Amino acid sequence: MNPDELKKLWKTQTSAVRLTIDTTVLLQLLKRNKKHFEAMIFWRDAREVGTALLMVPIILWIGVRDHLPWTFFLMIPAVLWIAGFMLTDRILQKRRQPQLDNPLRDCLERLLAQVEHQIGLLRNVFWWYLLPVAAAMAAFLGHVTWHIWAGGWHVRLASAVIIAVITLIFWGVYWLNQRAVRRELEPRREELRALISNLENDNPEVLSSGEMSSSKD
Amino acid sequence: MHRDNTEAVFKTWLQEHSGIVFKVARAYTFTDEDRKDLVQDILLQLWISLPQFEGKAKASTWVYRVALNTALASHRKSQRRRDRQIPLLEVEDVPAVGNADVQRLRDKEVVERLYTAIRQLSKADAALVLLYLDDMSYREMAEVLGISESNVGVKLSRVRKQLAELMKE
Repeated sequence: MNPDELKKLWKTQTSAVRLTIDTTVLLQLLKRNKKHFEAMIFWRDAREVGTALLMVPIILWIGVRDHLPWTFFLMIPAVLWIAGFMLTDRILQKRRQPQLDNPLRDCLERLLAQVEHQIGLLRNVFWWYLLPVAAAMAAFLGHVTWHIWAGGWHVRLASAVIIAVITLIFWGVYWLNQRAVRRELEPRREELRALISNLENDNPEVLSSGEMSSSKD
Repeated sequence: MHRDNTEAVFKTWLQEHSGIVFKVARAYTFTDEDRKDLVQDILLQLWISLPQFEGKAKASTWVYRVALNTALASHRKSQRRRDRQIPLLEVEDVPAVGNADVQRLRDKEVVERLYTAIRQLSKADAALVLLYLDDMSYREMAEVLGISESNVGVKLSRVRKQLAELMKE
């Protein structure tokens, strides 16, 4: 079957079927979905930044209530840094969102940039997320341990257990982030790279003139 | 674009270009469930993007862009957002008159084979084939895909051969 026949046949498929859309119901559904979609994005951001911000009054309350040493309050700048970092990142990324009405290649390139950014964030989660909190916690635990060191072996053992548990939790968070990179983001990046290269790899400039002349319509 | 105007334009486009949504969804999915999901995603993205439409491109070109971008950008594994109770795009066969029924059945088979072949192509090549079969010019294809017209020509020549091979199988 030649290309013209195929094109003709292709056109018959929509005349051979009746496509029915209840536009009123559809519009109601789309408006609802759009609201749901926007609310989902808003609450995702609010949850991440809000959780970090919520920690500030909690830390203050616990610290004042239990008369904890000043090193405990170092957690406040640490969580403020995390909240600020995430908020800034969200705002910057929102501006770089792929526009679905752009040409395919632009959209794919933006999607790729977004995935690469996400990979960068999660790969460096230790530096911007774990380290500030870990440093503040280490200062507090070191301070407390220093003061109770003379309290006997059971006090030292308890300190060691607490430090081990916290280290384990931090390692778990780091491991989960790296697993997300390996299992979800890297395959997605490869898929997008393959799509973009597939769009580019027939560039006439990189083909020989013989191939070009034979393939021109 | 004014809200009422957006609704009116959207309704008109649905009447005129729902075939594009139908074809893209069919070309990029293997099951009915996924097809319904993709139709819903495309319609949602069209609705969200419509206020940004400035009329610089033809409506069909623009609808193709949004539909193809959504199809290629969608990366779902288990997330299902579909409203199962509401069928968004009902498809039913139009009864043929007289002997046309036999011919239509044959045509339908060829179109089905064509979709099977398209699904075997890479996603980017499938996009090009869809535009080609809808008789778009090189310029329009280049606009939708974001590549040069000469690149469209070279690519199309290769993809057409590939498609012909797949149709023979």
